[in-house]
Amino acid sequence: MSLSVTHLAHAYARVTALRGVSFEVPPGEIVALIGPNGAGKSTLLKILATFVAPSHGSARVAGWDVRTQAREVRQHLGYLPEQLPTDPVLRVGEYLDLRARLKQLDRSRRGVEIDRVLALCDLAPVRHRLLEQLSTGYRRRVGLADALLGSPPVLLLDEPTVGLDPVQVRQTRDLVRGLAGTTTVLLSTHLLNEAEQTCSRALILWQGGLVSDVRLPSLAAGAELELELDLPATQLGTQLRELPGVAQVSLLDLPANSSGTQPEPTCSRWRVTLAPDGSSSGLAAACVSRGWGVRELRRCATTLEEHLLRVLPQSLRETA
Amino acid sequence: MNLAAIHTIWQWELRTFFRRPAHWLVLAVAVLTAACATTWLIALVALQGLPARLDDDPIRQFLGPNLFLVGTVMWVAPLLTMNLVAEDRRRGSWELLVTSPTALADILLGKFLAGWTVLATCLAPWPVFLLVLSLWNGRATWWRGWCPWPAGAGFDIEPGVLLGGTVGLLVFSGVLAAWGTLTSAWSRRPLMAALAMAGWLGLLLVITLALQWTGDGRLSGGWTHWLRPWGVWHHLAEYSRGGIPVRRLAQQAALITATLWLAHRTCRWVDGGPR
Repeated sequence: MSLSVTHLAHAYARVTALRGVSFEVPPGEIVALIGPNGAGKSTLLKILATFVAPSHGSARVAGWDVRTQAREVRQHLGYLPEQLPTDPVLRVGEYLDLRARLKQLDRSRRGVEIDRVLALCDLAPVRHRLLEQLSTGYRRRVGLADALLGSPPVLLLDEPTVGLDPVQVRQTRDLVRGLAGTTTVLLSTHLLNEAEQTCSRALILWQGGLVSDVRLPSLAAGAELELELDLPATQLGTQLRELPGVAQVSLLDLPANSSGTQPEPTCSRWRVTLAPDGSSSGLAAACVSRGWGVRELRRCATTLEEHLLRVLPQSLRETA
Repeated sequence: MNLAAIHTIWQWELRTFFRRPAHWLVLAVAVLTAACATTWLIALVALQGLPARLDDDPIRQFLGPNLFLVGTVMWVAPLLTMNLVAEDRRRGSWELLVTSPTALADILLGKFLAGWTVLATCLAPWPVFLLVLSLWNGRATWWRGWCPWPAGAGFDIEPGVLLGGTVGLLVFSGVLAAWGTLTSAWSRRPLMAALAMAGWLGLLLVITLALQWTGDGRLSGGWTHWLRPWGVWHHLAEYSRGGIPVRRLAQQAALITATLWLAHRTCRWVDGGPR
């Protein structure tokens, strides 16, 4: 595994930032780290980047332990922190050269590598500009170029597209997507559509805990169904939940009729999450065999936003 | 220890330092203060009449804890060392620096050496002006009709005094740089680091004055025993006696090492990271 996190916990003075987070990321996968402010995303990245030592638990980056093998971890890591490079008197090329030297890139390889990351991040036109004269977006790209120096096998990116214009956002997403298969990327973001477009998996953090680990293609493909039955919910009870191949059910509101009033409770509408061995045809057959009239059964694609709101606690959902 | 990484950090710090106009202003004021002190020395010696032999009191005062040197160090050292770590923390570049594949000890060593270089540059005019005084005797002639050249005997400065004083200033600026690294490593704000450094130097000045007072027999022996290692201004004068006090040199080298070790521990404590 490129990233392996086990029961990771961290507390700052009186605030618990992470509580027993565990997950694994195989090589070449691009994973989004999602959650509201204060969820623990940046703390998790800081621990993986060896800037902060975890209070409890363990984490491995490219097989190296972040606590006991910090230097080896750093040799296999590219890190774009939340704060941007702001050395006011250095030029972009100079800055990257110093960073490349700190990353111990060979003298012969350094120039080629700097040219490569400058081209990748579209920074060649500003190579001789002072860092302090650059816009936030350009500085973010300098940070990204720095993270990419030396082609590290693992990239930790904290909000890589904040402050970029739409064209730059697209370029950055394409760049990160292009790393799939060769580089493991853990990308912290608030932008759900960015996660959907860039990543194959999302880890959702809330109050320092991992509340969901979801594969985004399966979310989009609709592992959930909407089912309308000729039977009121009161008569069904828990029978629907007990059907084979069903993982989870939740009762939905019935659509209002043309006069704006709720229809008679002679039917019920459900959202059904299928278990890995379940199928829509199996669900339909099971309903019919029990004599329940199936009015409608359709696969519903779930957006990450819907998923996020579902997995977050009620209080936060209401705020959202 | 990775010498290449230390060199990179040192170079990075110096490049950043010498590209800031404010730092050139600090350097200029430090040179001017040294020039004022030199003028004061010339005036002092002129009272004795030329040619004068500079081997005792005036020279010891010039390269020792005199008002000009103390004044320069008291504001230059905090200003030039406050940025070493605290400024990186304030800017957010510290996180990036310590998560690069370079050991924290190498980073701190590079920064300390840069701070030492800068402080030594600020204090360099003192022995340099003295050297100029020893070459120039107050009377000039024209060499080949176009180049000013010293003529006749003027100031006579003992080379041992000049060498010892220079080594003393060099070691002293090393101690200052180490303390600057420590105070900067302790803080997240450069201003706080500068105030802490100035406070510390002020305290050491008080200790030095107390030790001078002790010389008059007004302080008990026990106090003198505890205060003597911290009378760094007092130590400075020991170097300009015509030789290098090896024991004092070893003590100050140990002090620099211990301070840097403390700075390393402080960084780990402030950041809370594995190093």
